[in-house]
Amino acid sequence: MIFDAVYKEEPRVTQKHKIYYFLLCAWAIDMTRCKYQAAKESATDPHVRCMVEFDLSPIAQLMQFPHFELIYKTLYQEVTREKKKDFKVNTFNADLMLFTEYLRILTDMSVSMSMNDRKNSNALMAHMFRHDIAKVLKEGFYLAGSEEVI
Amino acid sequence: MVLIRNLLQIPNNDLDSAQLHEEFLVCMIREEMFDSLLFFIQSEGNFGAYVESKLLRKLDMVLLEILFHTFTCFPPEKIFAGQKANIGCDTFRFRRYENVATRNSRFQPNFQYKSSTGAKKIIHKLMDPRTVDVTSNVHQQKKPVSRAKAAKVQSLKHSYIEENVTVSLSLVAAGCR
Repeated sequence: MIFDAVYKEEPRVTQKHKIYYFLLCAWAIDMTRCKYQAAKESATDPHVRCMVEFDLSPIAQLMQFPHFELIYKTLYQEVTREKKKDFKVNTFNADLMLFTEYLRILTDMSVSMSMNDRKNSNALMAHMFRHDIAKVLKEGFYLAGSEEVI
Repeated sequence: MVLIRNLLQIPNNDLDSAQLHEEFLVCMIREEMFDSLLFFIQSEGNFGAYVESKLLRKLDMVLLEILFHTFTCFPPEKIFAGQKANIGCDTFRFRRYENVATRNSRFQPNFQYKSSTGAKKIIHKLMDPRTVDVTSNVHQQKKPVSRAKAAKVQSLKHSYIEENVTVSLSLVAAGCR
């Protein structure tokens, strides 16, 4: 329900709620990644360490395709504002933090010993990246350069 | 829920050692407030009624803020840093330790003592009687001269020592002194 409200940009959803939503999602992804690393470090037996897999069930909804669309849409929306003063640097920063967390967990999954994790990372990478994401981020960094993140 | 949201928004006071936010979360867990929230969210039963619930639709953003203020104050790196210990207890202790002074309590405090002549001295006990005359010049006048400096000043050859006279090594050493 919260995702639908944020995705459809309903009137009751403010910029603060968007920021909170992105930061909470980033925290959940970071939590999953740290949990995987802690489980890997705690395993003393190398065979058991190879068997450790990512537990993506708590963040399964975050790995869906509409969620990637929401991230991309928000980034694109902030960059393509008509006026520079309408650019919301805090929303862009929160969205960028979520995007960074996606990249970090995909990097860890791609170098995992488990075959399932590597397959999942390849599938997610194919969904996540678009051709003009680098251009959008470059424009966003240019606009956010003179702003101050609160 | 709005009241809980407003209480969770209160930040910790940096000047005070009290960790208001963490203590409020502990209080919420103790009073089973989170269980009540979960029951309230899931009380609608099937999915169709859940979507149509107007009350939940009104409060979903409040719920988002409650979740944000509850979870994001704990960095995941710190939560899983002490995997062997109890994770929940460690989480609440981390912020508490940040403001505790690292100086060991076995060390004594430092006070700056200033005498009537204006000289300054670092002392550790306020009631120590030795602090009264630590800056006086009386002890410096009676300062003994070291033997190494005295031996350099004294001459090795004396007028009353003849060359034909054989002396023992102990006497030579005594003469050198």
